[in-house]
Amino acid sequence: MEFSTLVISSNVLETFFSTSIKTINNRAKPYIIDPLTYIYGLESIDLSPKRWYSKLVSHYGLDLILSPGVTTITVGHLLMAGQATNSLRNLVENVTNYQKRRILDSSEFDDFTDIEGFQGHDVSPDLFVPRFLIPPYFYMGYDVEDISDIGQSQWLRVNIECAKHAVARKETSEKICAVILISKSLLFFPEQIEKLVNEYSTTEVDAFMLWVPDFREYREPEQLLGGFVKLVSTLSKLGKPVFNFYGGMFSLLLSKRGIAGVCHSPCYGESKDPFAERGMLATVRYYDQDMKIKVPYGKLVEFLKLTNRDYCDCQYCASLRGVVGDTTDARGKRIELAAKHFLMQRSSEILSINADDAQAIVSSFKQTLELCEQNDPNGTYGDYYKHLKVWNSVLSKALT
Amino acid sequence: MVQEIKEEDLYPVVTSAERFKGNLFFHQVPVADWTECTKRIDLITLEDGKVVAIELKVSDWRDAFHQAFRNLFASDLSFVALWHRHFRSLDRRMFEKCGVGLIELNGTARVMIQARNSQLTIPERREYLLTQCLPERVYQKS
Repeated sequence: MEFSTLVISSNVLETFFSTSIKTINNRAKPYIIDPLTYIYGLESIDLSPKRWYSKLVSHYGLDLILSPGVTTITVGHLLMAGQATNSLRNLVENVTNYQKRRILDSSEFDDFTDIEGFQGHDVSPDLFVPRFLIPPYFYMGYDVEDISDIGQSQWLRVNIECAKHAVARKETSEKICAVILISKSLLFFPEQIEKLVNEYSTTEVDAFMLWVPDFREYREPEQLLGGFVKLVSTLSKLGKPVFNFYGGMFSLLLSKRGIAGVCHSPCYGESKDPFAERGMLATVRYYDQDMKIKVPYGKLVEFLKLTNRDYCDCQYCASLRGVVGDTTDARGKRIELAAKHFLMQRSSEILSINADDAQAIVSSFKQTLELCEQNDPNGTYGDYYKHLKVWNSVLSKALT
Repeated sequence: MVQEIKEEDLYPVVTSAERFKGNLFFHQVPVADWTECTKRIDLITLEDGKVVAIELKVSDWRDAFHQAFRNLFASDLSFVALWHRHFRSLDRRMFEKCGVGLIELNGTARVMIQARNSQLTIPERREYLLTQCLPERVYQKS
């Protein structure tokens, strides 16, 4: 595993279009665009005031599907008697074309190429061909449909049809990655997981991207973590790479059980709730590499004390301790340095996992846990380390 | 007429206790200077060169215990002072395991469990706490 692919959400692309082009060019890494189609299927969130929202409506041709004033797609728009409608086919075409051509066909890209050319740098259009194309995807769950079995889910039908149509119309060199956005409660039921995977086995996509909403690896009980392991390992038996769209350390440690990669932002974004309102004051979260969790930076020294450790001696932490004051600039600097510290630690963890040392990482949980329990016998800080016990239990079984 | 006890009613009971006779008390002392931290310690007093933190509670002893445990990172000794009516459900072993002291309040203040010197004190936190013991925070019984 390595840092291999940039993931850019379509709303970010539309909001920071020129910056996105520069980033893709400068990073020179493959990238994918998350088309965010799920937002058009959820009644409970209304993002229509956002400027990018109407741009995507136009690009995806949703203005031809939805009546004026209507912002939510329903199953009825996309399926008729269980079969794909023309609207579904058009949506698939528009969404995948958007990913393929949005940047390359833009005037901003032409301007960027001209400027770079003037400065003597070549811009390769191949760099702007997405690594995967993501067909339209929508949330599937017992809370949005009156079903007792995932096999009855109409949104599952929609997602399967979208994936199949994307595969049917792709060029030979293109790869299709299906996003599977499912209710967390599904993970409690092994037979439901098997049914879900069975359905997706008919799509012949090239990869899968899992998204379990608000799946916080360090908070979920053992049963849910076990369900997630089952989903990953069952899906990976289809022989295609399986990624976790929003995941962290726990997912990375499942590389031997089928996880091919994990997405997250630098020092945040290891879980995401599609139903939550966005927009929060950025706090300084610091990655504690022994507890494998982010802690408020101001509390770090307490955790070091609990586990008899010194400060991390990386170059970023040395600078971080030198940042004084509580101005906006100081906070921004702390967030930046904490993010760099996190990325460095994450790189080192990935190297260990690649060197087949995942078991050693899991074994270290026990040592950290023992120190915490010794110095905090009543679990006052338990929220920050009790996940190690659960992870140790689940992963010890999963990795043997 | 039975009057409901409020937390602010407990302050004078603690500050006039025999145990702390003659001590100067500071109230609502901030623990740290970083933005996300809103924590304040109910009462701080200095005794024989030691910083003593006291969390006052009418009923939720568990919450007071956890706050008092967190105070061990900034103080030398840490107590919970609890209104006597809620002692029955209290788990004394939690206090004894961690060295957090326990004071029973019932018109007067009685130390039921002595606090032990903290093994978790962080020097920078302790220093900061001392800088926050300012004249405007001196507790004056009204």
